[in-house]
This record gives sequence, structure tokens and C-alpha cells, in this order.
Amino acid sequence: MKIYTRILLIAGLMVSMANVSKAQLDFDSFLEAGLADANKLLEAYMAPAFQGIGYGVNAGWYNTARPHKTLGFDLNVTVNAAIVPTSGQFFTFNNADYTNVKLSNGTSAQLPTLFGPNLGADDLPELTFLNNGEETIRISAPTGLGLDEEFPINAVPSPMIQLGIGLIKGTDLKIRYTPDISLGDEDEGSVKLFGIGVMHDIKQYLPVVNKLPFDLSMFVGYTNLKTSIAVDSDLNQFAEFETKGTVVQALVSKKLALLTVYGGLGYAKSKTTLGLKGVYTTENNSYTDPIDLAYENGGLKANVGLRIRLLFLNIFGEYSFQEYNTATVGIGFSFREGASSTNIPIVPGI
Amino acid sequence: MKKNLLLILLMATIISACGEAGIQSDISQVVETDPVTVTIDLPAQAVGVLVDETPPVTVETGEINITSDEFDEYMDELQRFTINKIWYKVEGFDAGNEADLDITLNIISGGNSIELLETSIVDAHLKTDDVLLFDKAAPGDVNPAAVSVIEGALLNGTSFKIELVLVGRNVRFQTTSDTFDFLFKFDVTARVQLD
Repeated sequence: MKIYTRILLIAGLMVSMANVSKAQLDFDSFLEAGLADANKLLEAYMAPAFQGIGYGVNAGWYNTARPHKTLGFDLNVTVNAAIVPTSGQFFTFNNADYTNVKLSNGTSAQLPTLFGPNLGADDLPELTFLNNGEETIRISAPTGLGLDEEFPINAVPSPMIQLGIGLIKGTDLKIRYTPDISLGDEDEGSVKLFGIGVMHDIKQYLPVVNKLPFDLSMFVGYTNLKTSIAVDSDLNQFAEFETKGTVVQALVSKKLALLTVYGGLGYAKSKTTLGLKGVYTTENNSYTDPIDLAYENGGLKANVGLRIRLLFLNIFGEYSFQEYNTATVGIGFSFREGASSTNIPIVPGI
Repeated sequence: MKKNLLLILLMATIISACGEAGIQSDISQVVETDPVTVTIDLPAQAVGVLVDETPPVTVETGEINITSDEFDEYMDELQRFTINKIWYKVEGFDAGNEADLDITLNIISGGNSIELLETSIVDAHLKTDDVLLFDKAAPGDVNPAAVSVIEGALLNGTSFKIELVLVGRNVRFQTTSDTFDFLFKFDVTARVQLD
């Protein structure tokens, strides 16, 4: 058995769902490093992926601050790309933080994260694995994906599909949903998405402001993305990921002919967990649910975007300013978009 | 062999996400070979007497195939092997027996023999801990061509043998014969290229 062919592409999952079927896990080997070290090293190495997807799920909720008319709706597909900052390309490995893994030379080094550069073996520090203080093996530190060598940006993508429905009194309900979609063969894993958001026109309550020629709304959205990948489905071993993101923002937009310029300011937070479920037996031990990682982030989120509307078709893009700046592109269509009291729709009724 | 491969896991997580460059990693391990048994005989009248030189004794290790679970995992992706260090130690000298040893080490691979090293071991009976025989960083008198033979055999998945030609010097035995073991350890690096 080749280890790498049995290893889950945790990173690949984030980079491309299509890659998931290429590899599975051999966590038995992984766990020999000791649970504490395994969790710590994996947490640091994977941080940009999980942080990035946390930022990603909070983006792309809207492309205007103007709610639909009652029963108006829009359907959009977006891809959010959380750009990994330079600081996220490396992490500091300190020998003192680990028990069974040490640098072969020195006591501290900068190692690439998953989203760091793809370095050759000659450029990677060597790590020594120990068992009861005795060296068992030495391996080059893990390298990064080197995504920026192949793609325009070094980013964590998160695709979304969502439906927006106009309710009453300038309120939109937005739903993100995919059913439990199998990844590859049955029992190999699944991905499931659910999100709900509400956008409400607050301009209507503000004297004077309600006469001004722009749209103003409040938005709150919650997204839950769950993924499960089989490590060994026969042994009931799975890796489970869950990302929960919440965003609260004030939105403003201005429609200019076919163009809508929009922006938001508020707060976003997310939490991503990675759990390795099942019983894993190594030569010396048996572990139940051995890996349990959690990544959280939160802070101000400001974004600006531009939408082009061609009849029913919307093409839009936005950029969010936060720790992991996030670029979003999307396409969709919209019917019965609301009319502002101060904006004259180009195509009446749309 | 104990598997301890957190880093391999991490490395492997990115294999199919990596593009044309693939990923490259060095996997290094110290591998111990089976002992080779050596017997030095003395005539009865030499017991308890300092003997300047004994007749040469030639022994061979068994077929050495330096391998491990870790290397085997990547057999198809191996780019090269590098011998970083070679150690030896001597075990099993009878108590009270003393000897220096002149040793010639030859590498036998594919039916060919090439000298690796000639060296003298002073107080061989005391060399029960690992003694550095070869260090890539300071190869000394070790024949690099012989090291290359070992590395080539590893890469090709073939075995090799070490032939030892030993001559006892300054030997003082309390018996007419002493049988002891030579053990070799190799620090080996396998370079793996995963596309």
C-alpha cells in the first residue's frame, strides 16, 4: 500500500473538490508521531486552508443592497477566494513545542504551510521523529502547494450557490443549500451546505435618508458547510470538516444604469473544525477520534463590489478587506428586483 | 519497523493538489544490518601470549538489502539514495581477550567486488558502541566509488554484501578461539519525487 494513495487530500478538498477522490488517508502512520504533536503540527500546517474557508463562506451573499419585491427572486453561483496573506505562507516550528518531532538542525525554523511555496527537498528543513527519545526517521518538512506559481492568486476557494427571495416590506430571505452530495463513490464522503441570510431595507425607516438616491440595508447571514471524507469506510473511519460562518453588515448600493456599485461594513466570524472520526490502531496504541482541530477568526469586514445587469442576468464581483482579503466573482439571474424610491429602474418591472 | 510518518502524511496531503512541479522530499533512516560472525583461532601455545599477527580471515555478510517500510512505500518514486554515514560495532569478544584488527572492507554487488576501506581498529574488543566508519561530509579514505555502488544497489532494489578481510594484531586470547560479531549501520537518505 502506498501511503500517499491512501491519504485524504485535506488540502485538496479545499483547493478542488475534484481532487478528493485521488487519495485517501493512512492516519495509522500519522498517529505514530503522537497525538499531541500530530494535532499541533497539522494545525499549524493547515491553518491557511481552514482560516481561508472561514473567510470565504462569509462572502458573496449579495450584489446589491436593494431587496426584491415580494416573491421576486435571484439565483446566484459564486466563487469566493480567500487570499492567503504572506504571513500565512509560513509557520514557526519550535522544538520546544513538540515532544516526538524535532528539527534535525537548530531549535526553530520557518516551515511552509500548506499555502506556502513548493520547496524542493534541499530547501526544506529536516524533521526528526522520535520514539521514546530514539530517532526513528527523518523527513523533509512538509512543503507548500506553491499555488502562486500556477495560479494568479494564492487563495482558498469556496464555491457557493444561493437563492434569494423577496418577502414583504423590503426584506429578502437568502438560502444557501446543497443536499448531501456524495464525493466519488458511495461511502467515500459527502459535502453538504446550508446557509440562511436576511437582508432588510432600513432606509425606509430613516427620515431624510429615505429620500437619498441609494439603497441601504442591514444584512445578517449564517453558513454551515459540512464535509465528510472516508479514511476507510469499511472501518468506519472518516475525516469530518465543518465550517460555520456568520456575518452582520450594513449594506449600501447605488444603481447607475446597468451598473450597481455596492459595499458593506460590519463584522464577520467563522469557526472551522476538523475531526478524525473512528478508531485508529497503530503498532502500540488504539485511538478513538484522535484528531480534533478548531480554527476561529472574527473581525471587521468591509467589502466593495460591482454588478453588471444585462436583462435578468447579473455578473458581479466584490472584494472584501479583512485578514484574508477575499475576492468574489459570481453570476446569476434576478427577477422582480425592488425599486428604490429614488432610483428609476432601467427596465421597468425588473 | 515502526512507522512514524506524520510528515509523510502532510506531504502526501498535497500531492494531487500540486501541479506539474510535484513534491520532493527526503526520507532518511538509520538501518542496521544483520551481524556477520568472525572467528579468530590461535594455536594452543599462543594462549595468553601476545601474538603480533594472525592469519587473515575472510568473511562475508549475508545479502544486505537496506530497506524499510518507509522506503518501500515510495519505491516507484525514488530518485536516488545517499549513504550519509556508516557505523560499525563489535560484539561478543570473550572477556579477557584483546585484539587490534586490520580490516579491509569490500563491497560485492552483482558479482563484482570493490574495496570500500582499509582501516585499523585498535582495541577492537572494546568497540561495543557504534564507531563511525564513513561520513559523507568527511569521507576520508573511503572509496567513493564503492559508496556509489551501494547507493546504486539501493536504487535498483538489488542487494550487496560486505566482505571483511581481518588480520588480528597484538592479539592476546585466554582461549584458542574467539568468535565475535560485526554489525554495520547505514544512515541512508532516499529522495522521493512525487508528481
